[in-house]
Amino acid sequence: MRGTRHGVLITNGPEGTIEEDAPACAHCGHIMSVKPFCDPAAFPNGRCKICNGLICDNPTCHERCDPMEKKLERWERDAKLLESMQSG
Amino acid sequence: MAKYEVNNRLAGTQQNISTTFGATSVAVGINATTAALCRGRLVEFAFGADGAPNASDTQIVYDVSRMTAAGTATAATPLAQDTLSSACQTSAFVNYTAAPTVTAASSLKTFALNQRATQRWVAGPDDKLSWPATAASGLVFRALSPVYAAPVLFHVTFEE
Repeated sequence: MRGTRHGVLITNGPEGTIEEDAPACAHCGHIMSVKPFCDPAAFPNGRCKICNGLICDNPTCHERCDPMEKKLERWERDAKLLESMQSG
Repeated sequence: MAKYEVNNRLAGTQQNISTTFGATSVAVGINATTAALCRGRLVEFAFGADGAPNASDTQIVYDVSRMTAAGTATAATPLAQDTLSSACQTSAFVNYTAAPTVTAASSLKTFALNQRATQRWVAGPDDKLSWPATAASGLVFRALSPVYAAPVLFHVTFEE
């Protein structure tokens, strides 16, 4: 995963420094931890076949493709609708 | 995109964490505000204990979740990485004394670390964590520990 476009998690502790890849789920944003020398895309359900993003183990992220960008648009639309209903 | 930095040493008084995600568990919160709604993206965050370690070896549980309503905290002015950037439109609050409303089951990551450990997450270009441009929506950074009862430090970098 080194050299790719995903996040990284660096832990400094009593046992030294551990660095691991930590991509965020393309559907829910959950940060995943990936063991060294493992490719998260090789895991079962590791990559969404529709949006091609890496996805986490959460079953709801596997049921359908619901990318974060679509979620943000939906949340913003819902908030505007609620606001307009409250203002009459 | 302008990048901004905030941490819970910028303003207010650091609060001791407790055994639950309670009133003083939230160290930093960043959220959109009604006056200037805009989306934000989390670029990086680092965290660790900010007090003397407890004599008993113990863990601290750190958590990043989504929030939907403000709590009671000290406002902090996010610092622009680039001094040419305009003032930050996202609100930042630190050292909460009453926790904001956190969306149930919205944890983006929970880390259990030894009290002597620190951790840092840096987003890649493809996986910056976004929050919507709706009032009081954003992210909270909080911690708990069964034994360690001193402050923690969260340093957060985001862009808008």
